[in-house]
Amino acid sequence: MIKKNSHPIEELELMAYLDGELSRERAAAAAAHLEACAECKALANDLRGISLELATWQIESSDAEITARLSVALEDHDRAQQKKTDNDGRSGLRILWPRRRVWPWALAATGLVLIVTASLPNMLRKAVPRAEFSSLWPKEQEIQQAQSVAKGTTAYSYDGQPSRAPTPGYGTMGRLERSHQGTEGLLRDQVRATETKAIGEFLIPTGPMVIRTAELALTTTDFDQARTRMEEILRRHNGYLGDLNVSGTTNSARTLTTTLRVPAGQLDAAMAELKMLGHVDSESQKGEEVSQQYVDLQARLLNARNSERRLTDLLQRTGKLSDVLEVEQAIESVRENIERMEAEKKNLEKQVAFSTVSLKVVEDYKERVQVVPDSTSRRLRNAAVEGYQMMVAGLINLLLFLASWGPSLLLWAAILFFPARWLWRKGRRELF
Amino acid sequence: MYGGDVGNTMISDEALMLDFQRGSREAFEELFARYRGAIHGFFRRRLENNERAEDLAQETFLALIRAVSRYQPRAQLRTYLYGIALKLLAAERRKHKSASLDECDHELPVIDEIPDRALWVRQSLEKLDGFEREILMLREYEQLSYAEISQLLRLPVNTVRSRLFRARLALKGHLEPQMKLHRATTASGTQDQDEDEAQQ
Repeated sequence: MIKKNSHPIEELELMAYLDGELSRERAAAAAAHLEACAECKALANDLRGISLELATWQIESSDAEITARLSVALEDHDRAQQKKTDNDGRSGLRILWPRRRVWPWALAATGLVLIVTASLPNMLRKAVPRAEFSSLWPKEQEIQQAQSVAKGTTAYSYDGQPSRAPTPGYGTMGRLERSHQGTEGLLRDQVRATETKAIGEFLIPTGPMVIRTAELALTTTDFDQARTRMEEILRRHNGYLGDLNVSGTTNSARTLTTTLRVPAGQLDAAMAELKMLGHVDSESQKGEEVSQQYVDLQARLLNARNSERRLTDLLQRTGKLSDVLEVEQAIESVRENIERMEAEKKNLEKQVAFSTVSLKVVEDYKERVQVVPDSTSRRLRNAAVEGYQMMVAGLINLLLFLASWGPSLLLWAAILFFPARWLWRKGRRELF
Repeated sequence: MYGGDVGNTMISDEALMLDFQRGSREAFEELFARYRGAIHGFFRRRLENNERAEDLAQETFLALIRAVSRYQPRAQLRTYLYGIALKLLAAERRKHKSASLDECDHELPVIDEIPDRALWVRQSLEKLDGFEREILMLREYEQLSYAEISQLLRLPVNTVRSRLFRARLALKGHLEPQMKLHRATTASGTQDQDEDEAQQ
């Protein structure tokens, strides 16, 4: 072996030089060095000798001619070439009649255009307000009916005359009503008149219904006192805590985040007092009027109750068993709606009655000077304990990992080891 | 038409291939004449059966004919041809291996009636690592450059160079005892002959 440091040409370069694989400059350098260096000359002779030895294994020259298989393939190639030439001659036609490879793309483009064309009306239809199609939804019939009742009632309250009568329902309920139309006509008219009047008196709230929410962010120097005073304010105004969260340690700035529920009438007074707890960083108030929503809800509720009553009346009449079952199902559905709407109504009333205040109080913390620092021995001890704890925790985590993943990993390793080794060996032997 | 030299200028393989692509049968015949011996030698040194080597050489040219329409002169035709040959050889070895599962390694063929020195060479080559042997054979017998070998075997050129060097040194180690023996035999033969002549 040639020592790399003592020769300007490496042995690999020397071999490349003999193989004619070096650039001109490097080849000249290699030739010059070869003249002078006996060691490299010996290596070059060795390499040349190996090539000469390899050259002794000669293979008998092949006198193979083009076989029949090759001739057939050549003829096929000639035919294909001729066809191509003919097609090239008709290149004018190709503009009108493109190659076959174009057709899949053309078909795909046509398909895409068709899909877009077909889906465009549906996409446009989605933009139309849902109310326009409410008659198509059986479950929304009662809502629609209640809305029309509510509108009729509003007119009544101004004009003194009912301008619109409630529309009878459809679907199951409508069919049942129609079947008893003759016997119930008069009674139903009376009921409707009473209902309409009742709605007119009942639905309109005395004043606007507003859900008020406020957000307040404060910074205070005395965090503990601010918290105590906040609780006092809350008690004084008959409010209650929605939630409360305090974060931070005693040696850093603490933050209190809370949601307060205060009676709507006392929100302004409570806010004024809360602002006294510290420096106001930000404040915002929001009011959302829900009068119309409330009226609508009440109308739907009233109408659903009337429907329930009428259906209960119908149930008391004799009829086919199938009709009775159908009425039972209708009653069940209406009651479910009533319960849901009642819950919604209560929630709405509660939100209106109690305003929500999101309060954030941040402590204006000042770092205290630590006169007597921790001793080195104590810090060392603490560090040692922490280190030990971390080591134990790490060990436990490792054991837990091995316990939970170990069997699976072992199983997969056992399954995959032999195929992987086989594939590796196969890949290695693929060529040689 | 393509009788080797045209005005002292040999038409390149790639130009011949392009002519063949355009429909010139003579171009293919010239390519066949240029490479039939080399391709046959490639298979012959790696397969036991001479007929099979002939078949595979023909199949290499058959593949060339089938692929001519897609040919683009991006690489040397020689590399392209040996690439086809290597793939055919790999397929042949796979087939052969599935036929006889006992044979785990691809050994060089047993060829009868070859001279002693060539036999030593073959036996010494057999002792090399398969990968290094292939690089060495592609360099020595197919006369491929480092770049062509790296392209064919999908290896970096530096890897080809270092493994070729390793293969040559290993081969030298295997050949040396035989060469010494040969030299000794030759020397003693010459000495006997001299003594006989002196006695006469």
